[in-house]
Amino acid sequence: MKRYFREPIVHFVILGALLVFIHSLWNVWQGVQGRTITVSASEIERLSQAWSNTSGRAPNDKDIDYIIDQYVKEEVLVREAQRLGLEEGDVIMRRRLAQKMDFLISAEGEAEDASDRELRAFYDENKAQFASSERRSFNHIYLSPEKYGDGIESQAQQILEQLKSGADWKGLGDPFIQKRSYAVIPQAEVGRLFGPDFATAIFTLNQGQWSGPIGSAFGLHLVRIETVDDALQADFESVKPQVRDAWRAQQQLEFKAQKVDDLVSGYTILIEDIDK
Amino acid sequence: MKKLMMSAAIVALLAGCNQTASDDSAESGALAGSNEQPNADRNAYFGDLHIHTRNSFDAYIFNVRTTPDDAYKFAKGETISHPSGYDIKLEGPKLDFMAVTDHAAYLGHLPAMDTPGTEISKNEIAKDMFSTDPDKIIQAFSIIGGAIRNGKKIAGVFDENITADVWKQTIEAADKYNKPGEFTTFSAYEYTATRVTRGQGGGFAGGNLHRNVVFKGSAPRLPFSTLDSTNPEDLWTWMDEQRDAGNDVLSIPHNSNVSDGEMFKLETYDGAPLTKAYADKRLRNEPIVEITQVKGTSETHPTLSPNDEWADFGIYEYLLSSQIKSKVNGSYVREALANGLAIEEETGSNPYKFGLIGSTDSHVAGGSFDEKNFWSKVGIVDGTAERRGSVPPDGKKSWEGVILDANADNWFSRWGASGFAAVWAEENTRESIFDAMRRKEVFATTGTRIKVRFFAGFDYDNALLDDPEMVSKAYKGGVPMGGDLIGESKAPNFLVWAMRDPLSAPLQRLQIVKVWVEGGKTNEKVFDVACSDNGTPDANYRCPDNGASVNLKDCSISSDSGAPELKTYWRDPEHKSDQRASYYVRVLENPVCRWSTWDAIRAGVQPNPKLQATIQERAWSSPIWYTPSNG
Repeated sequence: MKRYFREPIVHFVILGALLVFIHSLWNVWQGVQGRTITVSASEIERLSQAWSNTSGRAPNDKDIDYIIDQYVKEEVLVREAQRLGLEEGDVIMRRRLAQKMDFLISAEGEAEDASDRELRAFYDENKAQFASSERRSFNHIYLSPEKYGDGIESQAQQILEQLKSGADWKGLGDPFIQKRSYAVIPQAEVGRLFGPDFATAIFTLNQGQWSGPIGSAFGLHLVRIETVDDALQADFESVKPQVRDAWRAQQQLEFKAQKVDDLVSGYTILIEDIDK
Repeated sequence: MKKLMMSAAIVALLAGCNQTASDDSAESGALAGSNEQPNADRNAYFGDLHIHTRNSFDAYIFNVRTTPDDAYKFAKGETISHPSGYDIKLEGPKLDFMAVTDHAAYLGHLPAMDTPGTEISKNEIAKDMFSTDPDKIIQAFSIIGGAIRNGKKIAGVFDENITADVWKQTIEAADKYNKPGEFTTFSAYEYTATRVTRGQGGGFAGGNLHRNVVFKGSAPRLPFSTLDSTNPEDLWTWMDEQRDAGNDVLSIPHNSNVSDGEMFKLETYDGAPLTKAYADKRLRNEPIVEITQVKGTSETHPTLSPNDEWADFGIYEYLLSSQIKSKVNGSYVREALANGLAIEEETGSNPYKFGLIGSTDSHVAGGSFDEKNFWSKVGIVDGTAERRGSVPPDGKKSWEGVILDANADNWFSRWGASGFAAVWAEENTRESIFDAMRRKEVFATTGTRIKVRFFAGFDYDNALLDDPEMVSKAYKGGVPMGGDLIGESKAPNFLVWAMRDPLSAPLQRLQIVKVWVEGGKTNEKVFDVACSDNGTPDANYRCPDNGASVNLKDCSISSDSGAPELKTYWRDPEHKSDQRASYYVRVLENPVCRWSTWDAIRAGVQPNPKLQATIQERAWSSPIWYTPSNG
């Protein structure tokens, strides 16, 4: 009999039986635990706070009952889903978890304030980022469709001829209810005043010559681009707050990238060959 | 000519405006932080001077939680949330200027009542207000409403410090978003006086005497509200004092249509005869009037203007919170303009010599200008199509046998997607826009961005219409909208010019509305002065039908009629040099679907047969006044 106890196979069987026993105990314990939902006071506090943030007032007793009821229902559904293993292979869930981790890391990366020298250096490296968008100045000659009807295109050509032979643009065309000259304005602003098609056209024209006719919601226009300011360079002092924001964002980005790299380096990564 | 020059010079002096206008003069004086150059010929700017947020007692009960900050963000094109649970955003371009105008009486008191731990939240009225019992809520709400009307400071509820704090926040929000050259804001509030004219025994019905009080720049620690006095004449006294103290300010009356004849009546608040002193004081403080907004348009009424085929627009007659109709006389702008001339003939001064703007009066921090996408005014109360009576209730598909809730039937379904305040100003700054309001060079629209110009002089001619420097010459030789012409032996002539909104329908016609006094009697007449599609006005001054149509299946509009701009030179064929007269322009677009039709199409039901299916969006210029030289 003693001999049997020395047999490795017997050890193996006994150990196995022990494991099965412990596992079943664990399952019972888990079942009890898994079917108890504790709504802690701090959780109620947190939920109430979230509720009043969206509703604009503190919840009353009835509201709190409702909040708790909703919480319990959600918790039950989540546990049932876990029981069925629904979270396995759920792409949305994986992404959400990765996202949460990402947030956690970012929060750690709250950068300290930069010195003026650091900001200055950052600004010098990223000047283009702080320049304003392209702006153009233009004059235009308006032709009213009410006045010329079908003859409007030939009228436009005629005016272009006059311009070529040196006529003063200010004496040509029809009065326009908005301005005839616009100084250094961005495309969005032109779109707002004349419609988007007109704005797109204005921002592709060459400088210094009369072009068109270009249509707008109002009629036809002959246009001359006077100036093009592609990147209006801002001076450091006036954009310092924006530079600081951008510097912070940059610091945080770098911190996060570093942190993720560190985490990755704690793993052994095996990559299989794609073409076998 | 000499007289005109003199009067023009006086107008220029009074208005402090620059009369040396030309394209080239706009070279210097760029604004800090902006590349916008001041334009001596002036630009049209569109804004809204009537917006409520959570700080208004009624808005908070309509479940509005958005703040003055949100209101300014909305005006700049950002998305904010509506209390009924959807997002709202401007359909067109951002606004050029805006003012938050919360009710000054009990300003910010409801949010404070609803904040646990505050002293005011422990009050019984506060507890009822935020209970779950609808009867208690309504009762508490009417106590506050009544106190605002009667000017009562309820002990344990009214707290001057709350008002001062929230007013300070209002001013700070305005200052924060004010960007000269880009976006102008004003510190402002609503003075909410209502005169109980009827229903004293049980219930209440009264005349709306509401005004928006707008500061040019600096503002005092506390607003003057109905808790100080319910008589608007006392408000003007306070405003005069404010001006002396360096806080320039003006007030803008609104919803005269539901004033029960009180807004433009022919006697003072206390029933005394109108005097020159009264007229001067009123005019000094109230140079402009809000002619259109969500709760209806106050231009005129079909019974006052039986010969105006377009007088039925935006008619809304129910006194606030009541099912009683407002008295017509004394409630409309056109009648007041005419009466003002008669009063001037008698007393030497015209109390109703005002310019015209529109605004929304939205209570959800964002104006609902667009017919296609209307969210009305009072938050959760009219935030859905069913609640405002444009779609039958309970998911019904037809209007057969449907009896609407009285509030939806009489109030909400009659309201409109309106309107804009527009100004002609040199640049987009507080200074320039406020000055435009003071000299009345302003116009109103029903939510469309029609631009309209209007000039009068004695020596304009037809050729000026084609002159590229028309505007600067028009300023030099006459007066713009809001101005005065002093009579000569010649008839005045007018330049009228309007351009469409690229996002709305093309223009159908330009009209001049004339009011005048003859033998002490007031008169009015509408002249069509320019017609689209090559039409000419007939002997009765009416354009031919331009055939514009709307497809009620999908709200598309005919593409082959209407004009992008209309422009004309006009002489008054009935002018008499010894008659006082006032002229304003009305611009009409081709018809489009009314908001209620859009609501119905989206829900897949027939439009409510009791409502107009289409409307004609429009703009009104401020008037120009002609006074005989011996007047």
